[in-house]
Amino acid sequence: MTIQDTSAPDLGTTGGAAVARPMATVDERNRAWNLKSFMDSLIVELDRAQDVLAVKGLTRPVTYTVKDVDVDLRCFPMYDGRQVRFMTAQPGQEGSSGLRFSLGSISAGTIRDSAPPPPEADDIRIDTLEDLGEEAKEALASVGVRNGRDLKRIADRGVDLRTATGDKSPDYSDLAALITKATRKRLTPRVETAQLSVDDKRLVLHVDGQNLAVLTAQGYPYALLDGQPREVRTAERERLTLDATGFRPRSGPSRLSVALDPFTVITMELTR
Amino acid sequence: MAWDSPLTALEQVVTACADLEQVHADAADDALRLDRVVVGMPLELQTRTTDSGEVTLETSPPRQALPTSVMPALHRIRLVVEVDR
Repeated sequence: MTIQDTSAPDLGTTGGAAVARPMATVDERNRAWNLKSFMDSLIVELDRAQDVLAVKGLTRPVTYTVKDVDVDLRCFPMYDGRQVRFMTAQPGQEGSSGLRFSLGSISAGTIRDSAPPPPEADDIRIDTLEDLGEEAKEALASVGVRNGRDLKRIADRGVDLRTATGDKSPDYSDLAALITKATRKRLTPRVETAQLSVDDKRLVLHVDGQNLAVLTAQGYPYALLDGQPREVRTAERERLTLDATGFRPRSGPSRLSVALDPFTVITMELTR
Repeated sequence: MAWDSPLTALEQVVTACADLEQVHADAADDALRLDRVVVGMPLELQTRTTDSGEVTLETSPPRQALPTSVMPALHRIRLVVEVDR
């Protein structure tokens, strides 16, 4: 893609006929756009055209496909100090710049080799974190960190994130905590049953449900049964198994509190 | 796109340029055939940006040939159309 800083657009006028100076018309619906939105729309339109051509090709001996597309757009770039946006040139407007998009064919294999993997359903996107400021989100996006996986990839390579973003981003541990919190919001824990059992000759308490242990954090889960710390023997998404040695059900309810991770504590009363 | 817009979706312009089947409609089996077509043309194009930032493209081939006091902003599009092998 190239931007040419040129003067008036080529209006295709020829000859020496006197032409009145154009008066610009202002369309209120013509608003500034960013490059990604425009590219998304352009690619969607071209994909639709390819789909239509593919369908037509089903019944034809020879079919054609669009291999390359160049679009020269007349527009006015604007920079607000944070990002560049563009306003499409309107009839009669002069002094627009040329923005050229060159789209070439690319195979699925090349995409797999060169593009980052697409976000998965359980990925937490940085731009959806409620507790992170817009400036930090933009700074992270500018260095290619858009979701939790990107963050982990950068962390594994030992990149100093604060330096890379000009001190606009929190450090890894703070970001990881925000992502953990957002993950937990999506995966609300639910307890369905709690029952005593014997496992390996020891009394244990099984707590069954959904989304119980979904995050790994040192020191978690942590359980208190009637105020006494209890060892968590196994912690899985659908079952927690607590050591219940010496526990005797009382006539009244017993109180079980489990901190599943730094952001989630479940408390329940156990009755016979 | 507005129901009364004189412009059309870019998809339709591209499809029209790349739909070359009719060229072969009456050709014999051993006739030469088009292998590659490059279409370059000016294009009227309007962008509509929604409040959420999404952009829609409305396009049309140039609708006027004579210069007038207000000329449309003419963008350009170039399509390389090839046989789908």
